[in-house]
Amino acid sequence: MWKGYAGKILEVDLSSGKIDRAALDMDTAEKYIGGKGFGIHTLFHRLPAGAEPLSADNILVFATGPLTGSAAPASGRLELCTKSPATGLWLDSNAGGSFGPELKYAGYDALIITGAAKVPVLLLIEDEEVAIVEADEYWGLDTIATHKKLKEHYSTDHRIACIGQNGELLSPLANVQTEYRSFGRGGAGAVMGSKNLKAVVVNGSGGLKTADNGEFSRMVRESVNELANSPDTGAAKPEFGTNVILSLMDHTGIHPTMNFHRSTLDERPIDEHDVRKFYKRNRACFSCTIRCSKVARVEEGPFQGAYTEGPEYETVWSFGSHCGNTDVASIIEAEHLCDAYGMDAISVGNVVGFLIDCFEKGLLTTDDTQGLELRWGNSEAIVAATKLIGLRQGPGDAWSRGVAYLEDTIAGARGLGAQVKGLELPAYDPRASKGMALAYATSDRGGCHLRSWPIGEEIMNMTNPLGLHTTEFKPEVVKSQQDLFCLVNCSGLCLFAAFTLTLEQIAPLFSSLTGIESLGNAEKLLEAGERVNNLVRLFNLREGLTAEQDTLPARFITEPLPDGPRCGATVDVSEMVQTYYKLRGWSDDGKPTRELLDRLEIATES
Amino acid sequence: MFKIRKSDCTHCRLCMLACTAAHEPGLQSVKQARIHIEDDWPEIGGIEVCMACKEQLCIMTCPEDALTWNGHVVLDEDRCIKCHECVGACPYKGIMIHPSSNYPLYCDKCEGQFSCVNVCPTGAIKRR
Repeated sequence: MWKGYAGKILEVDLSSGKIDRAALDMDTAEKYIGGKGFGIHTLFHRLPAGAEPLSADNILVFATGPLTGSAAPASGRLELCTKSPATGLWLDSNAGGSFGPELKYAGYDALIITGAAKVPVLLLIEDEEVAIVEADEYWGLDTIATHKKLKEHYSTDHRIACIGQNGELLSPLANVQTEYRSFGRGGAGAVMGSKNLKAVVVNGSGGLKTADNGEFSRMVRESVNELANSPDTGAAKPEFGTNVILSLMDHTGIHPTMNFHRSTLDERPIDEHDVRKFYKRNRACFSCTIRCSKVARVEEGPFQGAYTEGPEYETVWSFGSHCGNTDVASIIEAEHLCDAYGMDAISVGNVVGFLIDCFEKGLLTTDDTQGLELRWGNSEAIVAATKLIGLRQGPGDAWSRGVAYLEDTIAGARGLGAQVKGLELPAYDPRASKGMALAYATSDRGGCHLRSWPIGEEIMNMTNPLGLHTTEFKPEVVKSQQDLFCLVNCSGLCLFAAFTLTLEQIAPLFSSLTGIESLGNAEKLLEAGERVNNLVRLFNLREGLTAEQDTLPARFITEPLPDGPRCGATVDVSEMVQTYYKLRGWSDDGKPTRELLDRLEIATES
Repeated sequence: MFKIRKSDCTHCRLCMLACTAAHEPGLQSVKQARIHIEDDWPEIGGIEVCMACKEQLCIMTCPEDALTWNGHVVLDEDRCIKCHECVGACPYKGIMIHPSSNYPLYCDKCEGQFSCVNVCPTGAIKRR
């Protein structure tokens, strides 16, 4: 009898309509934990090498962690794993909300979706009852209308993951929205769209048994207290949300502006207080005491009536300083559009800033932009461009293919893009933070800040900050953070909780909930994170990744930052990458050695 | 019994987890809670729980006299025919239904422990 885990995997083949339920096995649980681990375990063994991401061959895995659905704080997370149409490589996206816990209450640790339906469908899961239902009436609706209509038809307690128009139109920027949270990056929405799968709707009536209730409750109380007493999770995030770091990133020169050409703006940049003025209420994901999520509304001006759950720090950057824009109201509208059409606000904002850069350089004219004056800070044009991308209308069709594609197709634009492996960079300048440069170069899903976030160790570690300018110890930090963050993405826990709690506090949550002794060992948990990262690396190598791609765009080596606190900085990651390979036990060309795979017991897997 | 501030509720549902655990020790779930957070994104639809109202329509409506008041509503399972008349009668939507036994679920204040109040991180639900 499983404790903590539901003990079952649900598998649905949309081509044949076949629905299977398989028992979870203990070896997989111990070695791969859940979430990202279950995702790579499935994709590595079952996805044919070289499979086309937007074909029926691709596989979608919604995977919970052992803590998902429990009272452990900030533990309602869910992973969505697939092969990315944006990068052609591994993709996992993590979202909060309510879907993950509901999937477990319905009796499943993970949901595997294969094949493709011939007509638009949705998948309905109510405990043992699982059905593929025609979804014509939902196709074409945005994600907010889809949620609303589905909840009216089923119930408000049915939990939903769905795509909007951007996913239906197979854009590599498309995300999957779940209860107004986002599986943002890498284009999983297009994979759902290619399967004709509009939505997954789940409602469960069960729950999870606890192995050692006394110990688990005690550790939950300790974690809750720790989060409440932390200046980050107990004060800053509840007050400002993720925008709390806006001033810090600005003052340290990390915050890129104007498509990474500068780190300052001529106007005063947006700070957390500017954004907070728009907050109307707090919201939280399931079982979370931090409540970093906000509902913001615009009450006056040209964007009056705009609202969003957010805006998040990354969006405030991507549609803000990245586009030379300081109008918070327009950012709220842009984020709302991204959520509604179902697309990644980091990548879309990055694309818009890139387009403005091209326009300002004369590489694009109003003939190319459907008349839009794409100038730095033109908030109306920024919002209009976002709409074109969302519905892939006119030039928006090409724009929605992402920065890497546009660099190849706009004459003279090559080298202007800020992307790694085809995924657009988020809100940290790699020249300003040497750790972040390595984090971008070695992230398993391309330009991403959530595989490791070394900025924390560089400037926010109060006892021994490593500093931004040096490359010393950055490979060590990136490697160890990648393994820890990976473990967190296997667990069901939110990264924000893991920034505050130590692994020694987290580990007993696993073991007391599941009764699996090895999960209570912090070292073994970290090793599981390392194992999952290495299996992802093998997957990426099989899909054609080479060591040459573990790098940054050349512009960050050749163009020094022209202003701000890190004025003059450039970054060359090649030496750090080699040191990182050595630390990982990888060969000079970035391949895990046999010895390493044996140590991690991946030997039998590959 | 409770003082409720909907504007402070974040929809985290820690109250529902705590309520379920208080009545089914060791069960991690929100499905047997006697309190329900109705979501109406981006707002909160309601914090639904027994308000210990004077009207006591649930008790008045029950066709089998299965409900009595003893500091909180008490259900006599031997008398209850699971008709859910009480559920429909409550103007506060404060009565839930057990997902497997189908009996109505009433707030019993956890015998004075008020589990939901103890875990609410924002004070959206307090003792009156």
